[in-house]
Amino acid sequence: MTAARVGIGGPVGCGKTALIEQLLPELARLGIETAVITNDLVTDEDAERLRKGGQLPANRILAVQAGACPHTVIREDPTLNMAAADRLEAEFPELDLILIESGGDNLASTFSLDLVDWWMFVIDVAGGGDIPRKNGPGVLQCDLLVINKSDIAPHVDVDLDQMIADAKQVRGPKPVLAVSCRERSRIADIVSQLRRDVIFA
Amino acid sequence: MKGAEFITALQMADSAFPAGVFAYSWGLETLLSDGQLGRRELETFAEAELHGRWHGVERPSLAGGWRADTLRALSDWDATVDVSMWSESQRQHSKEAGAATLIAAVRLGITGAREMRDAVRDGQLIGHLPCITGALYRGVDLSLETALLVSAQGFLRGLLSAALRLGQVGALETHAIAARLAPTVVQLAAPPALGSLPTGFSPMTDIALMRPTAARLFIN
Ligand SMILES: Nc1nc2c(ncn2[C@@H]2O[C@H](COP(=O)(O)OP(=O)(O)OP(=O)(O)O)[C@@H](O)[C@H]2O)c(=O)[nH]1
Ligand SMILES: [Mg+2]
Repeated sequence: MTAARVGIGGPVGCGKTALIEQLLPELARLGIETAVITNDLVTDEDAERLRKGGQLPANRILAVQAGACPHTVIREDPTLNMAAADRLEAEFPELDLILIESGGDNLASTFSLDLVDWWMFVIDVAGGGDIPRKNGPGVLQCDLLVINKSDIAPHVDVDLDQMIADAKQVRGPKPVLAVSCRERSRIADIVSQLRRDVIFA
Repeated sequence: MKGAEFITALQMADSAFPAGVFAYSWGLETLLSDGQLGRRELETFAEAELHGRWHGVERPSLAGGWRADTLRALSDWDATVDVSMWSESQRQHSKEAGAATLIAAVRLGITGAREMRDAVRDGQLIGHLPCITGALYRGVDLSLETALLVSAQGFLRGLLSAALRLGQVGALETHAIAARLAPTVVQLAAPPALGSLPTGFSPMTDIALMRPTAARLFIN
């Protein structure tokens, strides 16, 4: 069986890499074999940060340059990411899951289903409590909406409950989770959702 | 050119054709960041690259791929192209771009794509971009003349669009340059004699391509 391919999109600085850093130990604990592809926009910094974190062998983390187009490389032309995922699968046949972190983009970015089986979109409270109400395609179409940095909501004048309610309102039955990578809260819920929807290992 | 071939050529030449090409600047990003190249030199640079690199290297490489009648012949030709490459990073990027192109081609069911992909996987074929592209263009029934025109124009457009995304030139100017260089493209795209080997000379970009770490937004 091939590994599930899961996209992680969202605006610059929302905490996509931080989320991966929190997910990796949880996934490892459950015996889910994982690899990561990052689409850093201007450096290999995210890939390097994950390698230094040491939660995965360095060669299970690939960086794919996005040619200044973070949305192109995950939507209009995902072939480079598909090729990277194929390389990982060929090299590590035991993989259950490949996480693909998009470069920081805007609320209109979405993942091509040619590339991923399932994707989450991460926003954070510091981006503003009104983000869900803006009806961005990323917020609306993702399989899971993650609202990160719940720990700092009071400091940025955001009513977190209202933000969650607004997100649920625009997304209908599709799931929304508020998490804090800093406080490691509700990360396990994301993994549960992943296991329910995509990883059957 | 018949209507069907014309439409196929347009589709293959579509800048949105998903084969990963948008993420390569083939040395341009490095040259710009080094200050080796200024905004106003873009047109002469593109022209020089068309002559030195596309005409000398890509054209015979692609023509050989198009002309290969069997997978075995393609693999032999691909190996010839491989040894003619200047640097290891160039070789690597050409293989990666070839692999991305094959992913699209397999999904689209282009004649020969699956066999080539499997051969690359099994180590029977190295899979350099121009060789793969030549074989695929033949697979979609482009004549060699048309295949070379599509390739030359795509090469030029790739450089100009990288310059655009690097903020060096406006979209209208890229099209003005492309229009001015169109006669050059047509003239250079004539099929090479049978068996012509790649022989390029574009030292600035060859050196830039050996320093890929200086490139940040693009793969090279
Ligand atoms: N307070 C708080 N800060 C967080 C949290 N998650 C991430 N951050 C901080 O937010 C900043 C950006 O986090 P990253 O993980 O780099 O964000 P990213 O989405 O990967 O960023 P790009 O890849 O550049 O788009 C860092 O300074 C993190 O420490 C959180 O839950 N709470
Ligand atoms: Mg990141």
